[in-house]
Amino acid sequence: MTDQKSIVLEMRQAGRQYVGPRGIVSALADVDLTVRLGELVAVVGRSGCGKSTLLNLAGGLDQPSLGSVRVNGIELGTLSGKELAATRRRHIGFVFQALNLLPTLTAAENVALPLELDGATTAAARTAALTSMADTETAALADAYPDELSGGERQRVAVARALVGDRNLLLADEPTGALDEATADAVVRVIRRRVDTGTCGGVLVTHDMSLAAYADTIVRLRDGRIDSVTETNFTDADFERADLFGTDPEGTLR
Amino acid sequence: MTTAVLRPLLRIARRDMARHKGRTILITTLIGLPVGAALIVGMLLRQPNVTGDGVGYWAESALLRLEVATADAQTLESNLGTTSFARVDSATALLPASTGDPGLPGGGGLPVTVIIETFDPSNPLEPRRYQIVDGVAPTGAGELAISESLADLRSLAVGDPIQVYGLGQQTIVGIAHVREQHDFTTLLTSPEQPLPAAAELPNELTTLGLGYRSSSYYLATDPGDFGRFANNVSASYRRGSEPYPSNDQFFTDPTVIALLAGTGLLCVTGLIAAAAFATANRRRIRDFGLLSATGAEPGQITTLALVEAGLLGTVGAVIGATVAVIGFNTVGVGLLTANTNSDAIAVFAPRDVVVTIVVGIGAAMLAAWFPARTVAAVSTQTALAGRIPLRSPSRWTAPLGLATGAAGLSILAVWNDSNSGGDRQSLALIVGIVLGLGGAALLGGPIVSALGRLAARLPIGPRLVLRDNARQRTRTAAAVGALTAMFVIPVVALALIGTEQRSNQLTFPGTTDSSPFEQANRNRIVGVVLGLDQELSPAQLAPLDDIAAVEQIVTWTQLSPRGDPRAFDPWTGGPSFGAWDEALAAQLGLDQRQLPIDSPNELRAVQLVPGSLDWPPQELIDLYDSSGNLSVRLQVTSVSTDLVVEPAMFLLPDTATSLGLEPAYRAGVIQLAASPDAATIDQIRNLTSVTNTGFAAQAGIDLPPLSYGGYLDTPYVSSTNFDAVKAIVVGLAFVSGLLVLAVTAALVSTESDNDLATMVAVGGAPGLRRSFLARQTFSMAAIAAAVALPFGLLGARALADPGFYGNFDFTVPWLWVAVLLVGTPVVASAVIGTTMRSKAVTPLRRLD
Amino acid sequence: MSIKHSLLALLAQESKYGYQLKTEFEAATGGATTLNIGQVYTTLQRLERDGLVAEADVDDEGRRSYLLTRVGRVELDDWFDAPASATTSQRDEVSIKVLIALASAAADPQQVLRSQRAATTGSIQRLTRQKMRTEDLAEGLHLDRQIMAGEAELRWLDLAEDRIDHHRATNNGTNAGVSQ
Repeated sequence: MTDQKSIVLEMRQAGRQYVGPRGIVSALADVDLTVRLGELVAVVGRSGCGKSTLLNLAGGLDQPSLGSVRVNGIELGTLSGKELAATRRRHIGFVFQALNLLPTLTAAENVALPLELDGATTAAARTAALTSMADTETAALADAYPDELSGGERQRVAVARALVGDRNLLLADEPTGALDEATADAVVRVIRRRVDTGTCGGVLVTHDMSLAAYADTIVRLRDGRIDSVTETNFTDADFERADLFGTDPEGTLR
Repeated sequence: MTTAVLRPLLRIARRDMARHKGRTILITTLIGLPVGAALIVGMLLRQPNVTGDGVGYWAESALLRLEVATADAQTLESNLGTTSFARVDSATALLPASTGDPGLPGGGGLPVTVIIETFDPSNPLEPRRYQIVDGVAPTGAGELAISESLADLRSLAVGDPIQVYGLGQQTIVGIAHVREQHDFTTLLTSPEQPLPAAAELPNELTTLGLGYRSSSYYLATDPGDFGRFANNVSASYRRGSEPYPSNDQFFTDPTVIALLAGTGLLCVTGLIAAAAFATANRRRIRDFGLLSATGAEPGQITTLALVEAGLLGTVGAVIGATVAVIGFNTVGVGLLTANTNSDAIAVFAPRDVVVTIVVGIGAAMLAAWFPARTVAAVSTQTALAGRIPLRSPSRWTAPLGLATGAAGLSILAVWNDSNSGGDRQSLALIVGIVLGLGGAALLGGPIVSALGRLAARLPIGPRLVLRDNARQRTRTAAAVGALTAMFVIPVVALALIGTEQRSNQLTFPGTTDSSPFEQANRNRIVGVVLGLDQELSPAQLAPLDDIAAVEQIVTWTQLSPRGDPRAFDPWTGGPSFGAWDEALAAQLGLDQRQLPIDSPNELRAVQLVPGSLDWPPQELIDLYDSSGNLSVRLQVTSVSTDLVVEPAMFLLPDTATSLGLEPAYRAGVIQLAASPDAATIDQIRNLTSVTNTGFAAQAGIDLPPLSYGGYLDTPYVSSTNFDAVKAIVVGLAFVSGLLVLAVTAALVSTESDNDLATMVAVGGAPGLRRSFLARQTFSMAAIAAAVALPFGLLGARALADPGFYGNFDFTVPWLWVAVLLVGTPVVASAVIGTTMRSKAVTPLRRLD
Repeated sequence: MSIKHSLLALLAQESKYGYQLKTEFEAATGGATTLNIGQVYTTLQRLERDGLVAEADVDDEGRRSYLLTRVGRVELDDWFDAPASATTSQRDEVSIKVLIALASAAADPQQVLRSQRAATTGSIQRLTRQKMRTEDLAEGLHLDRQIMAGEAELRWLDLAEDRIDHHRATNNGTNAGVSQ
C-alpha cells in the first residue's frame, strides 16, 4: 500500500471516556486507524468491546474525549452540532443493521435525502441518487417503498445512500446482522466492489469473520483497545502468479 | 436553513400524514372543531334578531340597533315605550365614551343621551334613589344635579355650566350617587323645572334612545347624517364589526368573543393534540435518529415536526372553518329562523375566519413544539436504538405552572374590578383564562413524575401504571393538562351558578327554595303592610291591631305620582316605589346595614307574612274607620321573608281617588281586585311586565313563574331552574371528559402494547391490558380533577364580580362538583375497562 | 496425530517418566485423547535418537525418566511459535497446542491463541480474495468451506481466550486446577 491514495478517515490516539458511577469509564482508548480511498477496514470484537463507539466517533455522532478524528482532513472533534450534521451530509454515510430507510420515502428519495437536506434541487439529487443506486445494483428499485423490498435490497439501497454524491466514507455497523448467509455475503460484496472502484473508503463493523474477511485490514478490539491488526499484504499480482503456479499466494500447494 | 431544504421535510411530512390516517384525522378534528365552533359563536352573535335570555342582553341591543337602522325616531319612541333622554351639547367639549365604528360621524364632542328625573329630597315621598354627595339638590329652574358617572365621564364638577337640550343652559349644583346597581348617567332636576315632552324635540336633532336596560351611552347625530348613520349601523352590523360604542362591562365585539370561545376550546384540544404528537414521536424516534445520522441538523428535525403540525393544523382549521361557515349559513340559518321568532341572517365575517384559522394553526404548531423539543434533544445514537431517555422534569416546571396559574387568576380578578370596558377588558379575560388554564395544565407533568417515583411502595398493578405514566411524561402531562382544563371550566361554571342561585335566593326570597324564615313563619301573621301615599292615623290602623294574630304593623309610604314617564324604574320599565321607613326599621330592630343585600338600595320595605289563620295570600282586608266607614281595602302580600321586597297594594278605585291618587296606572289592577275578567287581566298584563300571581290564581289564569317578578308580584319565583342548569353543565363536562379519556386511552394502548404483551407472556392475566388501561385512565383523570378543583374554585372566585349579584355570597355546589370530579374518573375507567377489547398476545415483532 | 511436541512440552519444566507423560497428556486434553503407553515409549525413543530428549534417571524398577535437551527446547519453541497453516492435517493441532500450553506452562497460551488467530485471519482474508476472483461454482464453494472452517476456528480461539482469562482471574493468575 502506497501513501499516494488520499486518506479518508484518520483516527489518531482516539479515545472516548465517560463519567460512570464509579469514576471514569473508558469506552475506547489509543485507537489509531487509517482508511484510504479504495480501502475497506473491518472492525471486529465481541459485544461491548467498543466497535460501535469507534464507529460513532468516526462518523461524528460522538466526539472524542482524547485524540483526533479526521474525515477528509476535517477535524471532527472541534465541530459544532450543525457542522457535524453538515459533515455527515457531505462526507459520511452510515449503514445500520436495520431500519435504514425512512418508510415514507421511496428508495430513490431515501438515497437522495442527504443531498436534499444539503440544499440540492430535487432533480439533481435524484440524478445523483440513481447513479449511486446503479453502482449498488439497485437501480431497478428506485421507486419502490422500503416495505416492498427484501432485507438485502434495503441494505444495498442504504449503501447507495451512504455513498451518494461526493460522500466517500462508508461506516457500516453490523449491516448484515439481520440477513441470512448468502444475502449477507452479497451485501458485503457490493460494499467491497464499491470500495474497489477507488472512489471511497469503508469501515465495516461486524462480528462475522467470514464477512470481515472481505476487508483489507481487520482490526480487532478488546476492552476498548486495539488488540490486533491483520492486513492482507498480497496484491493482485501475487494472486495472478499463484493462479499460474497452482499454489496459494503464499506458496503452498492447494 | 434555506427554503430548498424544506422540500424534503415537506415531502416527509405529507407522506406521514397520508400514511398515518388515524393520527391525521384526530389532529385535524382537534383543530377543526374549535375553529368551527368559534366561527359559529361569532356568527350567532352577529345575528340581529337573536332573542332569548342567554344572549338577551346583546340581543336586545342588537334588536334595537337594527330597528334604529330601519325606523325613524318618532316610531322608535312609541315602539319602545317612554324613554327619557336629554342632550348634552357639544359646547361642553365632551368626548364619546368609545369611538366604535369608523363609519359613524364625528369625533370629539358627540352628544350624550342621559336619563333625566325629577328629584325632590324634601318630599317624603321621594324614592331616595339618589343621594347628593357633593353640592346640593337642584331647587329651581336652571339647576341640575348630575350622577357621578356623568361627572366622571365628562369631568364635570359643581358649578359647571351644562347645556341640556330642551332645558337650555343649566348649572350643575350637585353631584348625586346613584344607589342602584347600574350607575346610569342621570340628570336630576328640581320639581319646579318643567321637562320637555318627547314630542317637542325638533327634528334637526335626532336622538336615539336604544333600550332601557343598557347603561350604554348613546350617540346622537345631526339629522342630516341620520340616514347615513342608520345605514352605517345596519351595514356595519352585517359586516360584523362593532357598530356602536359602548362602555359596557361586557365585550361587544363578536370577533373577540369568538376568539375567546375558540381559544378556550383550543386549550383543551391542543393539549390532546400534544399528547398525540408525543405518542407519534415515540413511535418514530428511530426515523428521527436516522434523519440525524443522514445529516439532518436538530433544527431541521424540529422544523419537520412543526411543518407537520402546521400542515395538519391548516387542513383542520380550513375544513372546520369551511364546514362551519357553509353549514351555519345554510342549515343553521334555517334552524334558527324556524325556532326563534326572528329571521336569522347569513353572515360571513372574513376577520373572524382569518383570525380563528391563524389561531388554530398556531395552536397545532404549539402543541407539536414541546414534543418536538424532546425529540430534538435526544442524541442520535439513543434515537437510533429506538429509545427516548427518561429525563426528569425541569425543576422549573412546577413553579412555572403555579406562577402562570396565579398570574392568570390575578388578571381575571383585576379584569373583574375594572370598568374600562370594551376590547381591552375582553383581551384581559382571554389572557387570564389562557394563563390560568395553562398554569393548571403545566402542573400535570411534575405531578406525574412525582407519582412515578412514589409508586415503589404500591402493588404491581398501580405501580406499572404510574411508572408508565412517568416514563411517557410528555404524553401523560398533555392528556392530564387537557383534562384539567376540561374540569376547570365546569367547576368555574358550577361555582358561578351556585353563587347566582344563592344570590337569587337572597334577593328574591319568594323562590321555590323556601328560606328557613319563610318556612318557620308561613301562615303566621307578623304584620300587615300598608301601602299608601299618606300616613294612616293610629285610629285608622286600630282595626288591624285588633286582629289578634297581627303582631306588628308596618307602614310604608308611596312614591311620587305615577304616570310620570320620567320617573320610572329601569328594572321593570314601570313605576318605582317603595321607601325605607327608618322609624319602622328602628321599631323592628332592623339595621339596614345588616340586611343581606349588597347594594344599599333604599327601595325596600319590610314585608311581613300573613298569619296563621287560614288567610290565603293576597287576602283583602277592609279597614273601617272609627265611624264604621270603609276606609281602606288592602291586600296582604304573602312574601315571607325578613328581607325587603316591594310590596303590592291594591285599592278600590274610589278609595284611590279619594286618597288623591292617580288611578290611571292602577286602574286595571284595582279593577282586578274587584272583579277580574279576561280583558282586564290582559290590560294589566300589557301595562305591567308582570302580573300578580294571586290574582291570576283567583282568576284561574295559569301564569309562568317570572324571575324578577316585578314589584307587583309576590311571591317571587325564580324562573331559572338552577338544578337543571347544573345538571347540564355536569353532564356536558362528563361526556367531554369521557371522550377525551377515550382518545387518550386509544393513544396509550397503541403505545404500551409491546410492554403489555411482554407482561402477558411472563404470566400476567389475560385481562391485563384492560385493567391496565382502566387504571391508567383513572390515574390521569384523578390527577386532573385534583388540580382542577383549586384552580376552578379560585378562578370562579376571581371571575365573580360582587357587584353583579343582588346579594353576593360565594357558594359552591359541592355535591355537583363532587359528582363531576369523582364520578368522571370512576365511571370513565370502568367504561374503558369494559369496552376495550382485550387483544391476544401479539408476538414481539422482529426488527426488520 | 503427532504427539511428539506435546511430550516435549510436558518435559519443559521437569523430567518425567513415560507413564507420567501419558497420564498428564490425557489430563491436559481433558480425557478426550487416550494414549497407548507403547506409543509414548516409541516416541520418546525417537526423540532421544534425534537428540531432543535425554535420559535423566532410572528408577528402581528400571523405568527411565527423560529430560528436555536444549535442542529439544528450541524445537519446542518453534512448534509453539508456528501457527497451524491452511493444510487441514495441522488444524487439529491448534486445540492440542493450546491445551498443552495451558497444562505445561511451557508457553503462554494467550500468545499461542494470538498468533494462531492472526494467521487464521490472514488466511481467510486471502481465501476471500481468491473467492472474489473466481467464477467457478465448485471452486467458490470449496473456498467458502475453508473460510467457514477458519471462521469456526476463530470463534473457538475467542472463546478460549475469554475462558482462560476468566479462569486466571478467579485463580489469581495461575494455571492451577486447569485440567481438573
